[in-house]
Amino acid sequence: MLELVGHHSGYRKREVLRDVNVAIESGERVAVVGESGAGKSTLLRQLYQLSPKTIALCPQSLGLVSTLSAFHNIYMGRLNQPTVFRHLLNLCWPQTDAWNQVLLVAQQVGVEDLLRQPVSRLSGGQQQRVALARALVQGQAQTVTTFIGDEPVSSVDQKHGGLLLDVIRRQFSTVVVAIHDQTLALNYFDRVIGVRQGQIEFDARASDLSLEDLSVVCRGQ
Amino acid sequence: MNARHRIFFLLIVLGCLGSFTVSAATLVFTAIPDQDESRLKSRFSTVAAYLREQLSIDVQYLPVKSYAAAVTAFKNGQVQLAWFGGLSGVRARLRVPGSKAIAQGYEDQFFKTYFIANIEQTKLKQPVANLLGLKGLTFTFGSKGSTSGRLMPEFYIRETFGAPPNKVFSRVGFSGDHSRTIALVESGAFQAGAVNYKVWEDAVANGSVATEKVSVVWRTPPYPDYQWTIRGDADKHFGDGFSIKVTAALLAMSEPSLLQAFPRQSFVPASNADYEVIETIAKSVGLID
Amino acid sequence: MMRSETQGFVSGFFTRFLPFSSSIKTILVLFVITLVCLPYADLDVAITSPWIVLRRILMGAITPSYPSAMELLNALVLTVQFAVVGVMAAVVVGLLLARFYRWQVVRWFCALIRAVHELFWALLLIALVGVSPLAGLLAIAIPYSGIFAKVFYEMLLQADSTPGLVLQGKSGFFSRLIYSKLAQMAPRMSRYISYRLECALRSSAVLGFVGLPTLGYYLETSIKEGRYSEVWLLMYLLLVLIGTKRWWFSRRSWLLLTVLAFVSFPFSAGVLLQDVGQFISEDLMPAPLRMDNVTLESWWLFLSWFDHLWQTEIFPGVVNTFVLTMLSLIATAGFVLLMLPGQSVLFAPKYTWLLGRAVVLLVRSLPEVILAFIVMLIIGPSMLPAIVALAIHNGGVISYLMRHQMDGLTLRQDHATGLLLYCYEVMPRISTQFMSFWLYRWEVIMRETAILGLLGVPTLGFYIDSAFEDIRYDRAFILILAAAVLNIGIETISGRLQRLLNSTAS
Repeated sequence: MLELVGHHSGYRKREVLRDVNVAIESGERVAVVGESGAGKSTLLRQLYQLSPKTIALCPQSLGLVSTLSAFHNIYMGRLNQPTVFRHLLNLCWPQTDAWNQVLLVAQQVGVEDLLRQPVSRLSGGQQQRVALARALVQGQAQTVTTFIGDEPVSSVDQKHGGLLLDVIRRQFSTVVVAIHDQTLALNYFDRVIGVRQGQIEFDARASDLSLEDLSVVCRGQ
Repeated sequence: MNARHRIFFLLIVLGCLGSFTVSAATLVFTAIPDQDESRLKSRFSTVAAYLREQLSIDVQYLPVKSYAAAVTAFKNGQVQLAWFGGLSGVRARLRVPGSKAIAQGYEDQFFKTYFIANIEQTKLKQPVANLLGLKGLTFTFGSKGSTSGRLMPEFYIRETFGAPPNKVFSRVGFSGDHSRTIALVESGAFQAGAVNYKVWEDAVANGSVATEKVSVVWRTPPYPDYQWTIRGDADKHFGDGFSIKVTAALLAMSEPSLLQAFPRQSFVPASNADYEVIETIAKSVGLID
Repeated sequence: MMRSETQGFVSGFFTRFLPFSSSIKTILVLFVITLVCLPYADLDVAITSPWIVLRRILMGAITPSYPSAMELLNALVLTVQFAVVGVMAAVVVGLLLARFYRWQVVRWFCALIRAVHELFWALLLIALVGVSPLAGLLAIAIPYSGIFAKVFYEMLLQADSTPGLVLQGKSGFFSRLIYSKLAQMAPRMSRYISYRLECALRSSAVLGFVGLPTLGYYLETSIKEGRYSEVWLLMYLLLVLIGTKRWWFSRRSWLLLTVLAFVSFPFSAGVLLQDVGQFISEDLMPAPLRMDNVTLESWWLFLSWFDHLWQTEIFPGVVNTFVLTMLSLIATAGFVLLMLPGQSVLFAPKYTWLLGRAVVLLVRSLPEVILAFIVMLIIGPSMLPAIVALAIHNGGVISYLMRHQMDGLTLRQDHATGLLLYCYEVMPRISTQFMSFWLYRWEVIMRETAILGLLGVPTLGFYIDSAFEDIRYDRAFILILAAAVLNIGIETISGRLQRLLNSTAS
């Protein structure tokens, strides 16, 4: 369970989150909605810091290493396994087992043809899929059961976004995702948290919410 | 790099390796020639071969280019025998008690330093009676640790003026080498300089200096310079009477190709006492504590 | 009330009349400091007739020759071997130190080992490990470790931290460092290592002192003796070696080359480990304290010894070093601004940028001593030849390092051309990078002033060199400490300035 009680956070005197209370049970699928600048990213970051060992993170900036290939970026999800020498070897000459494992995940998100490319040459949508694949590989470890994503499907259309969310849901038992697509938020998640100006505006079951309810925190979207 | 190149590279590298291996009963010597440093290794290798034959033990030459490094190697015991300049020899012997000067070049008994000047800038064409006429010029020594390029000229400057060089001249430089001192005075970059007389005479002989531009204005009285110095513990390492054998071998050197390495016409006996004057002067100038 | 008005006025003045970027303000401040230094600078120009010597030098350029090809080949291989082993060893140590560079003590340690010129390291190490290849190798590897530590640390800071965040708790320490940080740094690192290799090829001259006949060893000898045909042949060889570096030290060959160089390196040959304790108590110990029973009187002697050293060498040395460094720094900036456009595809007409690059290669490969010597022949000895030599050389290095960034700029289709392009489009974009290279060169220039003692400019390096020549390690050690303190001071200031620039830029 991830829990923030009466949480404040901010940087350089500017308060981003004010008196936030959130508890996420394992097995829950939670969407976080709100305008940009409302504090979603900070909220997710704080949740991640509660237990980074058990959580696969997909940050908004993706955190890809642009000098490495898509393969290596996805492979990075495997670095929790021993040994450092094998990782070094795979950095220079990818071994067949590692390649196949990465390929399998890459196929799920549709980047299997791009593995040899440096990620700096990929489009925004492709990069996002690579970052997602990395999180999925991390999720293959027994210990990693939760996915936290900050707009992980923002660069793909609604249909493909849904498919990708399906893949995430299959891999992780607990999912917390910031998402601006309100339809996806209602259809793919059990619970929706609305954030506005650093505070929780609402926190309810998705089935109890309508698109109008969401638009309170997502003006103009 | 293809395979053939790799092997080639490896062979060369291994060849270089071989040249550094020194066995236990090896006499290692070093030398600091004040001139013509190029091809030190090939020139002194012939000297090593000669000594090897005479002493019937392995002899190796350790090429070292700086005065300080040579003295350090002597002090450490890395070399047991060295061809030092007057000043560096004194420094080395002070650091290694028991070490002895055993032989010097024939010319080294009466070595000299020439003061040279740029004719156009100083209007000094003929030799002058004393150094007083050089006051206020820009002046360059040779290497900082050289006897002929630094110690002796500084001594005579101090003796004449009763003041250190930087008070006598408007600018004092250290060219680092006699040949360069000549080039700098020739171009007028420095108005005057001090130079090893042998280097000057060689340069005049082979025409590498324009004598209408530079002239010798003053000559120092003779002083002792280069010498062979052996460590005091050499006899202990190589057997009784070893130093005497080495001395004999050095003095017996007559082959012109060997003597040319130094270059000297022959070698004559020497002793520590011959260099007391250098030590006194070095102390008075403040180059030795 | 009064005070706040003045403050308002001052800051208003700065924003209105100096509407420049902080880079330009920094340059201006340093420029003003340099102007203050100017009266203390020795900038005499002597009237010389250098033509005879210059003609000999020029003749040498067109008649290069060398008596022994085998000697050259040997020197070539040794030079490469030393440079590769020295740099690679320093990379490993540097990375390790970079990891702990946050700690002030590591920072100082690195500044200390950086502040000492390779030449002086060689002389110190000879006393410690004997005249041996190892001494020469360490003389390169030790100061380079300090340099790498600083540069790698800055690269680590600039690397994106999100990949590391993503891996937090889900990877081992080393795997995370390698994949998330080093992988990001790799292109810049390899470019920098390759540049350092070039420096090591040039500084192999110091190895001459330890009896290793590298190219630098022969070059130094030939220059000293004025054999200009040999000088030029060696120079051409060095140029070719540096110019073709990217082929022989390429992505494919570097590992093989490194392994070969390491395996064949004679690490133990000629090594004679000295008693370190004895070295410290006898050689490094100030002369007045070098006795069995140190009395109050010997402390008094020590004080007057130190006072003498301070008045005759440390203080004038520090002043001269600082003045020379400041003037050279400003001159370097000017030189870079001139040199940059000439080598860039953005400005130079078709293929003439190749010529510009050749010039940059030439000036950055020429040892400063040669440059200084040639300039001195023409304008006589003073600080001026040193300034010109340092500015040309370091300007060349910075221009070379900036080239990639400059040619990699993506400009609008309708971008301006010529001077306008330079001032409005290019300079603003590369100024951050320029400032960081340039401010870093500050301490490099300071270190390099050491070897220009032949000009009769008594810098700290000149006195350190004298102390070593006189085999007075005690004085050398104290002077080195003074140089290190100066270096740390300059590094602190340049670091502050860089941080200030970065914070205003972002």
